[in-house]
Amino acid sequence: MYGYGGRVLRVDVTSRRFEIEPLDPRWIKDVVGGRAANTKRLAEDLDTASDPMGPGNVLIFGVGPLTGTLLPASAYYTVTARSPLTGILGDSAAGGHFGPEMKLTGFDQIVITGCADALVYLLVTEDGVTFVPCPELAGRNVIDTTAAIREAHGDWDIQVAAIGIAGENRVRFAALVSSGNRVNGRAGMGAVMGSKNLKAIAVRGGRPVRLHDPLQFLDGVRKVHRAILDHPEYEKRRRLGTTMLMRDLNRIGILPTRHFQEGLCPYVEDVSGEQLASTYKVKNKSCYNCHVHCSRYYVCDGIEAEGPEFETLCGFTSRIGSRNLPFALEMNRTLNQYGMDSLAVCEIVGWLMECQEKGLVTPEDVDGLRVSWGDCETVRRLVDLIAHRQGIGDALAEGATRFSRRFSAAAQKLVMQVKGMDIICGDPRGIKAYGLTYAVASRGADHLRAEPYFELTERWEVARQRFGTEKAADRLAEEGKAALVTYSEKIALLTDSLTMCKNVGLCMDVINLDSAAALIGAATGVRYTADRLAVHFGDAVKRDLELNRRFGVTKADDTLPERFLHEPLAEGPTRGSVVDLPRMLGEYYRLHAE
Amino acid sequence: MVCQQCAERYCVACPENALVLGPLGQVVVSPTLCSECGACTRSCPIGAIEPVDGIAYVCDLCGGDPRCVPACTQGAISFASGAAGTVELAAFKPGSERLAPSHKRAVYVHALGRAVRDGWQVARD
Repeated sequence: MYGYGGRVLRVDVTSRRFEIEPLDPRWIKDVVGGRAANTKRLAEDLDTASDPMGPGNVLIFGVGPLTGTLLPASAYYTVTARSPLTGILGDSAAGGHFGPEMKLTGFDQIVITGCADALVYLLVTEDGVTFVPCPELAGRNVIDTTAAIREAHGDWDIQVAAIGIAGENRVRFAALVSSGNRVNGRAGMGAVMGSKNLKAIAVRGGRPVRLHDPLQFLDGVRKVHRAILDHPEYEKRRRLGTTMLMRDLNRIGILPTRHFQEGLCPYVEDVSGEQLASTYKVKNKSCYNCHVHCSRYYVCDGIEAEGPEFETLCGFTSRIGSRNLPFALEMNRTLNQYGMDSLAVCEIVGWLMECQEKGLVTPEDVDGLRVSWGDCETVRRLVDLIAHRQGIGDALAEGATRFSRRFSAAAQKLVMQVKGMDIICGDPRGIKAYGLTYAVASRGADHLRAEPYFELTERWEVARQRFGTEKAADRLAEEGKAALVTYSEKIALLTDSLTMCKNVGLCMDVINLDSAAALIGAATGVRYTADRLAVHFGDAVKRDLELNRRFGVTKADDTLPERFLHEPLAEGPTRGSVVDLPRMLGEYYRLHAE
Repeated sequence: MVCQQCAERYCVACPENALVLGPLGQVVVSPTLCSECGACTRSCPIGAIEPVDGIAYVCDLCGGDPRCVPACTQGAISFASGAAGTVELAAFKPGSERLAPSHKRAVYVHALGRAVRDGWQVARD
């Protein structure tokens, strides 16, 4: 098969055996690759009765037909399993250099089951798997683990996706980290690794990616390349990356401040992306074959690291009431090296701060820790306790949603989560399509299932053409948002299946179903049309829902925290607005029934 | 990391005489003479030459107009014509033969990066 590696690697870590099977062209045709293919595999292979942190869970690494080609910004890979945090479908994607290297091993998917009796890592090459026992790597951070594995094999081209201490301790929201700082953060994929006693997956490939029609493919690549370089946001994105959202969201009054109690941050200029770029940032970093190279490398107080992305920056500044930028940079590095989802951690912290302020949780409830807004020292302590599962950290490592069940209904309601997944840093009261996306997303509160960034772009005419109403481009309107989300879900799946970056593929709107059909056709020789792809991805969205239904998810779970439905923001450009979710949901379900 | 057109030219001591220097100072590989023995790969201290599909593969400056230079949107790659032979790699030679090319590249890049890093720290302190 052109484009694809054409093989699936199945690994059983209990018996330390592996099998290589051909990728069935008919099987892959209706999912293309990446996330959609992973979900299909999970739905087929997983016994839904099995414990997410038991040997029965199926951990899948997946890339797509265009991963590792010249297509810009297509360096992602997706990791899928049943989530230990939410108990439902879990997956998380990351960029960097792991995905393309995995592609060169000739495996489109690595499917891992079982549980090793002691800590091991897998070295995956074209020939299959070497199981390497690694007791000496226990407790080591991600960067040290990566270096140790490269050193052990004398090969610096090896790419490593590893867990840190949090994954080893099975913190439910533990992350998997590759290229040192590229994080599969959400849904606890690091905890699944830890539960299998897998410290890392190392990949090293040497197979070329063969294309059906290289010249035609190159033609499509040039168009995407041009669209990126000519994009009006190119300079801004390349300078700031996602941290541009600090100012952008504050400007429209939806920057989570003091745990979503406010949408305006008075000290945003101290913690903005611009501030980071003009102080501690020393250079740009890029994923494989991306011209936006939006990632920031920084030096601060003796720490060198990459990032933080917007979610971590906001999560450890305004969301927890802190104006301390160096502290956020420190937390970014700490969390990446411990291997923990920054959103899950900042939700625990923000929730504790609000609950202690309101007297719903006392310091005695949490080992005597008094935590108030912007109290960096206590946050630092909490993070250490959680990663090591020490003291109250052991209970907090279960996640904000589970931990809150020890307390009153009032305290539980303050957890900003949907389906057990902590909400991202964007207040849905001022971005209604995002509100709908959080409510319906199949991995729980999440924007990336649709990323309806379109509603922030004020493209009224395009809105009328695509969604039948200008209101689709009005962030405060509910009208047209179900149509926008239904459309964006498909484009999000398209980018995820091609393992493209959503910032580029979706937010910068450089690829659509037509251009994707041409690119996939030139690369693989499989003829798709835009309509065909839309049908396939529509089916794939349904496949997510069917799988979640098997996990017990119902429509009643498609909701938002009460704050967003009933408490309007008091100040700023989003003042007075709440999410009219039932209206959007009704329309959304109607569109999905069609 | 590409060939630095170093002063020492360890690689051209090819047992098959397959490597010669071109007019720009670039290394030119003869596809007929190259037997893929790997002597050049072992001798290069910074891992800039490796066999690929039966022939030694090394930067040949694209005939004097390296395509990678305009391709880099960060301006990180520059080409100084006439600068061949100005980079000395003798300091990286001892012990390098044991290492894989990717390892040698990592060592070289880290060494170059150290000065830059020290500059960052000074600027922040």
